[in-house]
Amino acid sequence: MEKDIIEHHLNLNRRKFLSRMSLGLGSVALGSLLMPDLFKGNTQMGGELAAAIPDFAPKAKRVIYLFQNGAPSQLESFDYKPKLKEMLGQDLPESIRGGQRLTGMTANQASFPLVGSFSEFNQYGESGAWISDLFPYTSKIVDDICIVRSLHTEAINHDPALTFFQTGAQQGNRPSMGAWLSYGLGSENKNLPAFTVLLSRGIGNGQGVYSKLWTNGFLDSVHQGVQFSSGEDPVLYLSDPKGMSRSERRKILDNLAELNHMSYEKFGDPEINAKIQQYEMAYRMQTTVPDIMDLSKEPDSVIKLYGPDCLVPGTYAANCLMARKLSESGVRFVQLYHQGWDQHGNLPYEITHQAKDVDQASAALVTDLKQRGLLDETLVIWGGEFGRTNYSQGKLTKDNYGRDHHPRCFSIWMAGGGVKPGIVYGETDELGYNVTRNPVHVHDFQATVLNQLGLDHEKLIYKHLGRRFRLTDVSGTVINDILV
Amino acid sequence: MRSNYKIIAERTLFFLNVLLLYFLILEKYIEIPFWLQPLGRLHPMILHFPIALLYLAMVLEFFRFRKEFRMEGFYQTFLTHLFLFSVITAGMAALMGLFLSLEEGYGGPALNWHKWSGASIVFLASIMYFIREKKWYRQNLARGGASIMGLTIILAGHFGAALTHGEDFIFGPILQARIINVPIEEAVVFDHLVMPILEKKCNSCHNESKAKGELIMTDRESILKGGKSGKLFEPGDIHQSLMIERLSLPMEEEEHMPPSGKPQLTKEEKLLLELWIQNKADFEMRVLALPENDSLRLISTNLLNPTPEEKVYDFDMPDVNLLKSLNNEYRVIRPLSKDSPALDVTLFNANAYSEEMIKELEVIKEQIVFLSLSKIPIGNEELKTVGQFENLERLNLNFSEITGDGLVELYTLKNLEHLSLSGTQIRTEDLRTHLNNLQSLQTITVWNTPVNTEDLDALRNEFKQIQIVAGREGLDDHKIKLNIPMLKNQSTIFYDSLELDMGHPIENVTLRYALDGSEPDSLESPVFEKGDIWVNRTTVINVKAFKEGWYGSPTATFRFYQNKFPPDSVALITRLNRVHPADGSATFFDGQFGGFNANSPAWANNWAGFSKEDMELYMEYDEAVEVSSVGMNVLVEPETIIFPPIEVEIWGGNSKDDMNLLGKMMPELPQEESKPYIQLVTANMDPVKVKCLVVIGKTVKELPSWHRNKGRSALLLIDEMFVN
Repeated sequence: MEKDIIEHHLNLNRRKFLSRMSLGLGSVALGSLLMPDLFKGNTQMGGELAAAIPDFAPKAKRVIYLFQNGAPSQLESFDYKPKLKEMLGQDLPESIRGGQRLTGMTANQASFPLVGSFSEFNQYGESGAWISDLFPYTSKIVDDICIVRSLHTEAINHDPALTFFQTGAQQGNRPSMGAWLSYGLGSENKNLPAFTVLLSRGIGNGQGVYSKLWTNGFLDSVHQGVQFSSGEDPVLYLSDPKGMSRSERRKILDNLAELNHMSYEKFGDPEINAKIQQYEMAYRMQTTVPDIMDLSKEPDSVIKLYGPDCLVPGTYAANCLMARKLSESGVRFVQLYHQGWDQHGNLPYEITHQAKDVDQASAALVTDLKQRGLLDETLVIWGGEFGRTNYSQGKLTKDNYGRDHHPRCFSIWMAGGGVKPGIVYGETDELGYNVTRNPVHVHDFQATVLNQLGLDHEKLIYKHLGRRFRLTDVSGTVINDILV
Repeated sequence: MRSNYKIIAERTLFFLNVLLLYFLILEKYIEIPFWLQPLGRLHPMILHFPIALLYLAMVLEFFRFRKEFRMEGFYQTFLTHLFLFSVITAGMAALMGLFLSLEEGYGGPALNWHKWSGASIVFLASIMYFIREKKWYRQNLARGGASIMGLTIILAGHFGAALTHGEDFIFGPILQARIINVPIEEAVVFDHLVMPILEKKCNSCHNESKAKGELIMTDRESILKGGKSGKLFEPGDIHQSLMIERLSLPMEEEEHMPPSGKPQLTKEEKLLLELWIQNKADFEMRVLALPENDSLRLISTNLLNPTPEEKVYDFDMPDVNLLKSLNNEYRVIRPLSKDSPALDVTLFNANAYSEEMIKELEVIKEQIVFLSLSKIPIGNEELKTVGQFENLERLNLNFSEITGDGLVELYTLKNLEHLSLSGTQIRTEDLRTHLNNLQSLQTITVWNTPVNTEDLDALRNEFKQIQIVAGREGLDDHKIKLNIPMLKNQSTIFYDSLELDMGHPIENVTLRYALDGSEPDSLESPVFEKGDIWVNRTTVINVKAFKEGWYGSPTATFRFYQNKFPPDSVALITRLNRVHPADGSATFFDGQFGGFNANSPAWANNWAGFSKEDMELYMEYDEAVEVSSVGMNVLVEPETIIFPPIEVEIWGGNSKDDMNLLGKMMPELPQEESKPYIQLVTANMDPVKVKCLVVIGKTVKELPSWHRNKGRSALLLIDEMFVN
């Protein structure tokens, strides 16, 4: 034990020496490159969270990510493929599949019968974008959103794909996008966490969502996502136990902080400081959170905008409304997950319900931000982790079919935050299997999101285990074509 | 005394001069053998020696006759040797250069200038060397000679650089910036988009002075003419175009252009060249003459209007310590970016607000460009301070206490572009009075204010330059469906009786109910009041919500289950299905109901399942109880082969070994594919006192013929059981 402590001190000194030397040489930039934390201030205390500053003036200050967990079908939402209807039941040509690996669920399927969307498509807005009937409210805001139909990913199963989207790597343990933003930009409102998470689920086939998706990974633990749940205790363990007054709580925290400072002096572990800050923030959150959770002051028109379900805790609509309130209060990254989009079978029935769950509230969120003049500075993202196949999984009947996972193309939309409104970007082939124009890789998407927040994805790095890590790993290009 | 080496060197120098002169005169008749070519190509490397050495020699020569140096033996000897050596290197460099210039691709005025200035250096320096020991060679001659040499070296060097890097190399960055600034209306595809690419990436090797492959790309005629290998392109056909072919070759290929090591074309630049050739390589075509969705037009517009650079502010950087002192938990001040003097200020938490928080910002009034005071109770008084923030661009006053009169204070904000007034008491007439005085205003939000829909139309007509945002209008009168009522009871399973408690998320809603299975209606059905309904047996209640101005909600159905005799211990006799282990034998009386979608592992939690084997459950009571019915709650989802049991048997007695069949029943089975539903299967019997019970639920062994999996066995799922 004692040896460990000595070793730790030694490490600390060597690190300090190296960083000082790099400063002494005048290579400030180099120093910060080697140790991103260098200027975060080793002595930060109390409520002073590191306020990192963007590389360039940001278009967006905050992000609301409406993650459609389970992967909604692009073919029943935003990627209109009439050709598939004509070719109903015909086998997917091998030349188009081009060796794409399949999941274990359809790899042994004897045939791959193509199937078109059961729902009708129409054109909307000035851009004339094609949108499925399942999304009537989204089609009303089409001139405020940018539909990207050419996303593609590397993973073919939910967990790796989801992890890839959130952390830039298919295996876990890297920091989530929200954690990176918190690390790169700091918290806006010091009375709330910079990164919050809200969960909901529909009746469709669901996939798990785990806290590893909002992990801080190797970053300081203050950057980890805080889950807000429905019910009496929106943030677990936040409220004081019965019979404890606020002043008592204050006293306890002060004494605890004193002890923690002492152990920091002794061990020098920066996680101790992170802990002190988290206690302090929790203390302040005790007064801010109830305010945010209270939906009773919302005017009737807001309830009608989001749909009455927004007052039922735990629904997607309620989470969207909450997301707006959190974002309005300065939470950098609000991450929603709506489960139930994994339509391997029974797609027409399930997706209808899933779309109904999210359509009105997602559109309402965009409208609501706009009417408050906040859409300019808030980036809203709607999308899943991959797409779905253009052929049916399982038996194809007249009015029932399923779709398997498809990584080669899928659609998402973005709104606000300096993204061009009213455009459709990217194209897929007429069978909706491959991207034919303007492909957008997940890392490109991530680079673009960071860019909108004033961060250069190649500069937002953290050195861990001898390697410099980025959200976009070693690739990614900002998609300038979709930016204002 | 003259050393042998020096004599040899002097002769070499003389010989070099003769050779150089010879080649210069007979240049046109010479063809360099290929094995000598590498020597010529060493020119760009060697030439740096004579430049540096000659310069040093000339400086020393310049001061050679000064009093303090004249008698300095070392100075004089060193200079002589240095002079000799540097002239020899110059001669060699010149010869090599001459060889290089004879290779194909070099020509034009720049080459001529370089060649003759270079040769002059050698001749002039040689002459100087040979006469510098004469008696009449004095200070003035030395100084004049050295100065002329210095200038000539600069001249030769400059033209040499022009040959290697292209003529506009030095001022390139400045010239390019100028080219970009063409308004889109005047832009010509060739002049303003294609040519700049050629200038940047091709012309350093393909110009009049240095025409590699006999190709010149600096003017239209030469471009059309092409080079040694033929025409550059076939208008309208990129596959027949040599230029595109060379650009597309892999980097490793010798022929790939630009050569490896030189700056390559970006994807966008290459695409632009391709599209231009595809569009008939028209030299006069204007960007705006192209069809709106044409790729060439899109990419051209993009290049001509690059993403605007970050706005530059010319006010001073704020004092860092000052910022630190102003920053706190409720007033967050951040620079827009790392090097920007502009500040973004946000106030949080209405409870922590005091007027001082705004007043104190006066010290940074010049730097604040964004200010957010959303939900902060500021009034018109504070706007006087805000009016001093002269560079403010974005001001958020949503849900503050300001009124229309306060807007006067904002007249001073000449840069204010976005103003948010949602949720304030701003009125239509206020906007009429003030909007014209806010010169730079682009958008204003007035949602949730006294400004109504009719006024909005008028305002938008009046102030066409301003975007007036008001949310989705007309929602107040819009009638939508209420959502379903909620059950407030913690559990729907009760022992003796239960007070029913229901509610609705929306305020002032009337709940009407029916207990007979019918749909409640908005007029006749009883209104629910808390305390009204007590249930004392298993009951189904239908409830609907109603409210003025809304459509009635869908019907909610709530079931309440009486469970008078939960057993003291439960044991499974048969095994549970692998996917549906739930909580083992504890599942049946834990008060937890399952949901639909039970086949998904994440949702299967509360369902205990039996597939191959029948359900056999043993229950025991410490004290004998009088039992008259046993119920089980089952899920029915025909599509995923979840069926009710085909038959239920209840056995009971006073001990394990003394059991009698008390009753049995056949539940109703689904007759066709249907949506999933939940069914309560209850076996009734004559009341009897027992201490032990065994429940047997026989699973469907063969699915009926209408089912697509006919013949397979079904799955039985149970979440709760009730003994009464």
